[in-house]
Amino acid sequence: MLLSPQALPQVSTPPKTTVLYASQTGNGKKVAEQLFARLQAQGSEAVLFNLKDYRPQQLKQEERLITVISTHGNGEPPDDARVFFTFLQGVRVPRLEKLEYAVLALGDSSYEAFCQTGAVLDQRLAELGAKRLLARVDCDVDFASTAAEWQQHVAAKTPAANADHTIQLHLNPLISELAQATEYSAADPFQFELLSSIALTDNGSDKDVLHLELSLEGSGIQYQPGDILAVTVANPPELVAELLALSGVSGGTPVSLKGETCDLYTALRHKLEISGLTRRQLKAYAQQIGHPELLAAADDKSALQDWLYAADWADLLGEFPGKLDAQTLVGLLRPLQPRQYSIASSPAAHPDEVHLLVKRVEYGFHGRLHLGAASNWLARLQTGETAAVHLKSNPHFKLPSDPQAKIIMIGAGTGVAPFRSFLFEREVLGIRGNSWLFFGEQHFRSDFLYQAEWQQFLKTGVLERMDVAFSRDQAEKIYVQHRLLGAASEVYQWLRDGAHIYVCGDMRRMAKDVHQALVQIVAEQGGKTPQAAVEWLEQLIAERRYQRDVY
Amino acid sequence: MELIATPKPLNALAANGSAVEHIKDRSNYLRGNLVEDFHNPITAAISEDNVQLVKFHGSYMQDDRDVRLHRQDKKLEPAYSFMIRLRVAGGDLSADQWVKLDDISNRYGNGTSRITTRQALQFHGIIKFDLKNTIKAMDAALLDSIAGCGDVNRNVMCTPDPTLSNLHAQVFPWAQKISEHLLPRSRAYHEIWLDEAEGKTLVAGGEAEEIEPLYGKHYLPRKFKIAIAISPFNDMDIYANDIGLIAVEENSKLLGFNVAVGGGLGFTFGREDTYARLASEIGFCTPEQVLDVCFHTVAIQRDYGNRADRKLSRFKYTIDRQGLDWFKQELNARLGFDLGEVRPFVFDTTGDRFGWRSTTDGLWHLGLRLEYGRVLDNETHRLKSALRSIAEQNLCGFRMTGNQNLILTGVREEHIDAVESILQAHGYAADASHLSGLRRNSIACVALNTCPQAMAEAERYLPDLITKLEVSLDKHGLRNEEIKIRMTGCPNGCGRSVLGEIGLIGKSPGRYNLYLGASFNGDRLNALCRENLDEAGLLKVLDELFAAFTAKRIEGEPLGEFVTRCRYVRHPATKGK
Repeated sequence: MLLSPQALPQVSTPPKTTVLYASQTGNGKKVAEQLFARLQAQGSEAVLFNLKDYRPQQLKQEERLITVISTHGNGEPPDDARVFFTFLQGVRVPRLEKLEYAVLALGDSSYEAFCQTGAVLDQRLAELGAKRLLARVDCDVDFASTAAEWQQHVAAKTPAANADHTIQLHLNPLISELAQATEYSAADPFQFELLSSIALTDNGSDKDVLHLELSLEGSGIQYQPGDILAVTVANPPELVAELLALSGVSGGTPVSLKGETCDLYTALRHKLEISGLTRRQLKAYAQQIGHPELLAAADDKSALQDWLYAADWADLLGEFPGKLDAQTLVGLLRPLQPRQYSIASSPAAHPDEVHLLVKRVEYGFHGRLHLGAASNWLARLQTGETAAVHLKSNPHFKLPSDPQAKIIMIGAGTGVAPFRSFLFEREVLGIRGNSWLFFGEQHFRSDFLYQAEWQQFLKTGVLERMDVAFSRDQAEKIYVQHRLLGAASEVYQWLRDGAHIYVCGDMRRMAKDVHQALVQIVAEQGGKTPQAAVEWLEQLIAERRYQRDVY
Repeated sequence: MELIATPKPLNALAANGSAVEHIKDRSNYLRGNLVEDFHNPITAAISEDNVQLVKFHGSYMQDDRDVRLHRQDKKLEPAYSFMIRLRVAGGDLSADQWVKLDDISNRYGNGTSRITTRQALQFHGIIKFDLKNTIKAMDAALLDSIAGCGDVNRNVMCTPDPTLSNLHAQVFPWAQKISEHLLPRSRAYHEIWLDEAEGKTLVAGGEAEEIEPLYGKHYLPRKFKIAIAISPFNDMDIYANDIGLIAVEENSKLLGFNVAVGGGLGFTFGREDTYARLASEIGFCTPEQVLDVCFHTVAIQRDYGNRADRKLSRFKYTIDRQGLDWFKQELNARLGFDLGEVRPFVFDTTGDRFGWRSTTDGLWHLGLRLEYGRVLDNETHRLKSALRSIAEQNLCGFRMTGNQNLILTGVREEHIDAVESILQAHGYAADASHLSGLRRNSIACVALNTCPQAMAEAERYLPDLITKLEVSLDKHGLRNEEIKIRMTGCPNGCGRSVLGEIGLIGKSPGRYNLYLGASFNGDRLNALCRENLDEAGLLKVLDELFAAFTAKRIEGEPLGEFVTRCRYVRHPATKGK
């Protein structure tokens, strides 16, 4: 549900405030809408745009620009902001001397390029002569309170208009709906019951991938294919015990967390992230324990990269011991975030249920078994037990509204989950054909996730074509991008026919390689230069015909 | 008396032909769309049509029945794989071939290979996507699987033991000659698996007489089996074959073959019109005539066999329906001469001989007992590695017997110690004297977990059952008594259980029908004794039988004769013979 500016009352009191947002998950939209509602409530004249719907040429007329923007992948802007960013970086961008602006950057500090898009935007606007209304604020995954505070500051700096507008605006039904919407959230999740849990991978697999079916009965949660379920999890007790032992602090020690007091064990088990480390944390820890070498390594982005990718807090305390009291330790840790999974079920085909496809993460590192917190928590959940979930809409990963439109789905590993949702949905809707799935995993025999279901979809025509890549069944590694290239002319024909293309799965390798393969296909099949092919695909992204859900 | 049926014209689809007849008809001489189907990456299975066709190329589609439900829960298709069976006339392999086949079992198969009851070697567990490479690797070892299965003449058997008789060297080559003579001529196998360019056989409207002069478009109504034995050894169980040939000598020279026709052991539970039948001796032919005798016998079955009901389509039913006398006349007419009178001969045993024996050329031969033909390494021995090591050192040839055993042939005297020490180092006994007579004379088919026909265990269960029966044997002083026991997971007869003195045929998991009273030399079938026995029931019935046998047998009387004389079972009126 987008708020279109045309639906809003037309007022003429300057200066006008333009609120822009762009984010992949919908968090940015939510924050922007809350701000917009607040501005409206205080009678400020404001308009709200998704960046994708905003003409960047309009920038030179703007007086006050408030932007909420997230960062994705390795520091990339969200899909909806790509055109805007291209414009900003280009030569035709005007000077913006009369513009005042504020940027709220959303990000995840477990990534190196934390809030990079926001930082780039903030700096570029300054370069173009615009003035900061407020200093940029960076939000981590637990953005809610930071964002609320920022909204207050922005509202305080935005002049209010007369009362008439206020009255008028309160009548806007969309606004009131927004204000009153009761959604489940991380703070107020829904307790689901686990109906069943099966390992889809068979003997001979190097991995353990689980299919979970959860009951949403009574939740009122309405989701669409492509949406995401966030699950509140706890850390593995083994890791908590290890960390407590290494820290030398008793689990019963009281600590204060956001003004509330609990014991250290509870904090480490249920409230704080301990299974992963960020470079910032490394730096803060090094400063805390006074470790110059570690501090230097933390500052050197090329150092400790692989170590950081695999290590957890027990590794840090074990390998770089130092004296910390309980409260200091807690202060270094990030809040434990709900884990997000692309929903694998279809609301039409699986009413009152939601299915998740979860790869259980487990690896040996520095002589100790490391367990992924969320996947192992889910794997240990017994049928009939409950846990907390809330829904995250994923507006940038949606089936085409035109049921006749072709879709190409590319998923590796658990990235195939939303495509199961798509196809079950299309089956119920009676849509046949015009669908093509690329799936990649390691072994045909043991890792062909949902094999029997794809076979059935192929048989009934819900799925028109399927190509598979099993990387470890032959001497040379074969991945989905190789299958795409192998079917280059047909893929290009489908794209020319208006196909929507979806990519889901690993960001670091798969999504990048798939994109590269698409560039190559468009260039070779369309007789374009690589640059023109990139632009052609950018256009697809802008038109939301090329959507990605990568992690 | 039924009217004699009219023969089916060579390339006309039988009017009431079964589904498989239609599949053959539209297959373009065994091609179907095998190439495309074997490339379909979404499934490890192939279509129903192609399942039938791939048999003619020597392969069966199977699945691991142990994990069917488990995989269903995982939303995975069954664990499909392919069994492929080599054509090895007389079971004869060189050391070099053995090494190459061992590589195939490791690389593409499930790490084991298996000697069949018809002297072939088969691999299990080959994934669809590896079958072509498997066949190419077989080709590189100068071997193929053409007609390994399917409605054609199968692997031709011949007693493999060179020490059996001076006649052996003259007889043995005939297995290969007959096999080649009756081989399908379609180039489908070479085109599909070995990338041979499509030849003239694909020309539209090509003359079937040129493509398949013997078989025509529809091949045989059902499988066809031929075996050659040298009296007095019936280790080939020749009466179980469509054509059994018994070599006849005069002054150490091969004079010719007695010919027996119409054997076949398979039957179907619940179908009273199906039955096991032993081959009937019909005459004698010279070596020069034997290819024609086989060719025309196959051709008569091609023309007159039942193509409507595959349960009644084996040659034995054609013979019984048309009459043996009719068949002899028809054969003589097609041959243009009459078969001679059956020459006298005797059979003593169907068993193999184990341990070392020499031939007059000074070479030595070792009969090795294998547990149901399975070549593998396990917790107790490393037979597979031992045989590979022996083969790599080129110490002998390898001959597979019809009783799932192996003969290491042509060992030079100075290499005997090397062979012995390799076997010993791998924990394998060079002879079978430490085993009970019951175990030495046991046969089991593959059955679960790969055979789609099986209703109960065989290969995986018989060793344990025998261990339990050995308690009874010891109690009654019968441990060294030669007793022939055979177990199959279904009544189709691969393990020739109806020719066991003790025959066990699976009815359902853990339940077997007990058959008793076949002759030790393989010329009399057994008969049903008890139905649906579980293990406890089997052990009890057989313990009582062994007790009575010890108490009441006539000196030297085999168990099969004893149960017949004492009427433990009622033998049905003998068909044919």
